[in-house]
Amino acid sequence: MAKGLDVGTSFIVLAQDAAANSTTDPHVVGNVQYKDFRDAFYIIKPTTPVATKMIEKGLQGKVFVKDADGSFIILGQDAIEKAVERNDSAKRPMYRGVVSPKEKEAKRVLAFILKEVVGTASTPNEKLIFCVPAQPVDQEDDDFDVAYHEDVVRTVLAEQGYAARAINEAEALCYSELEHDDYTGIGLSWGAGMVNVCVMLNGEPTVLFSTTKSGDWIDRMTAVATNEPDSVVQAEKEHGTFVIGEQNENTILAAVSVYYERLIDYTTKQLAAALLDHKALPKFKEPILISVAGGTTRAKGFVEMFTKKLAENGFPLPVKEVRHAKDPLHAVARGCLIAAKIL
Amino acid sequence: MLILPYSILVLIVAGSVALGYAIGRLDWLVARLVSVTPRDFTPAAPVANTLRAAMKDTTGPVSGKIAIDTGKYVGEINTVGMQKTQDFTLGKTIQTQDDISSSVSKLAQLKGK
Repeated sequence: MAKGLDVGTSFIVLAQDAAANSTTDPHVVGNVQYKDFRDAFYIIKPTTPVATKMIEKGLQGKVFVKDADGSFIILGQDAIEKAVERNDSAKRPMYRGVVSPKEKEAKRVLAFILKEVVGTASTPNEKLIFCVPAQPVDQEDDDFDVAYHEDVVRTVLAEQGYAARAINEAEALCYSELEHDDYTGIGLSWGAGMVNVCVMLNGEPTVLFSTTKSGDWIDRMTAVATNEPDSVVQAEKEHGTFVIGEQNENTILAAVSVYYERLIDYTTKQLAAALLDHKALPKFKEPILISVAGGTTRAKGFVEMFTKKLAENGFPLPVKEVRHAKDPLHAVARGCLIAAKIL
Repeated sequence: MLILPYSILVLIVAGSVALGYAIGRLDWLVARLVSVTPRDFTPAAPVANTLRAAMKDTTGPVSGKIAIDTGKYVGEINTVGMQKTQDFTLGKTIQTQDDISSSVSKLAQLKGK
């Protein structure tokens, strides 16, 4: 058995063969099973024993753990809901694709979540491929340490009995989506924290990089513009109806739409600049496929706006098609699972 | 006749050398007299050079403990203190009808596996 794991800023997704858990069901043998978890936490620290009891009672039915210092750590979607209830923002164990250097408890919370989501290996040294981001082209930041992030994840997974190995996030996307194009084309994984890019030729990644603005940036900018907490903006963005590039009566969604367009414009400019005259860029014989995936791409009008901005901003390669991944939230985890069966 | 002036000359030279040496070691002499460690001394061997470098080095650990930046080095990640007070499983499980066997075989072929 092998597993694939997408360790994302907003979601952690585990992919495995369905047969791993239900060998008696013939309809799911050979198919993929996913496990999604919202990568968020919220800490409530009671000040008195009475408050402890009150808070514990109020958290009935929620997913939470009690920490050694008496505080309550609420996890996942419940953390976001509790934060919104308190007009606050939930915390993330990850920031821009790597373990957050800003949150004191980030490493411990991420370790706990990973252990719970992945579980113990079914056989000693079971193969597991997880994804990591590439170095950003638009920011020099000491806090962005992929090697340290990789070590944290690998250490946690090793404790659970896995022989874990990392590949790039966009490379995993290409493994998932470029099968019918001889694994040749470009994959863009639009996560919450960043956009990862991989140029692939016949199954080999040739150019890998990332940019540091994505879904979280839209939330942040909208929150500033509308004077609302990030969590409220995120909830509106995920549950409201809007089309990128079109007017909206809801103030938050109108701002979200505007910042979506700016994000796509920014990313396509970065993409064009990074690939123009890149020494490692292959000389493609035919127009290429660009596959886009990730939670940020689920907004209506995304592919149309991305295609438009590619043309406007001088993308240096002929494009056959911009294609939305069949399952944009699971495509990276799927690619990790495919890689785990080969690499 | 020449022996006497020559002896005087030798005495003067010897006296000057002795006086010069005494002045040269005056800081050491004073330090010894007042029981204070000399600020510095001139090393005469490679070992002494190393010793002097160590005495001047103020960048090393002072308390005998080596400080490790846990933001750069991954040691033990302690989650023991985090206790579940109720039973739960993290993550929502989704079954699909998605078969990846053709993707795996095609990629394996491309990579020569």
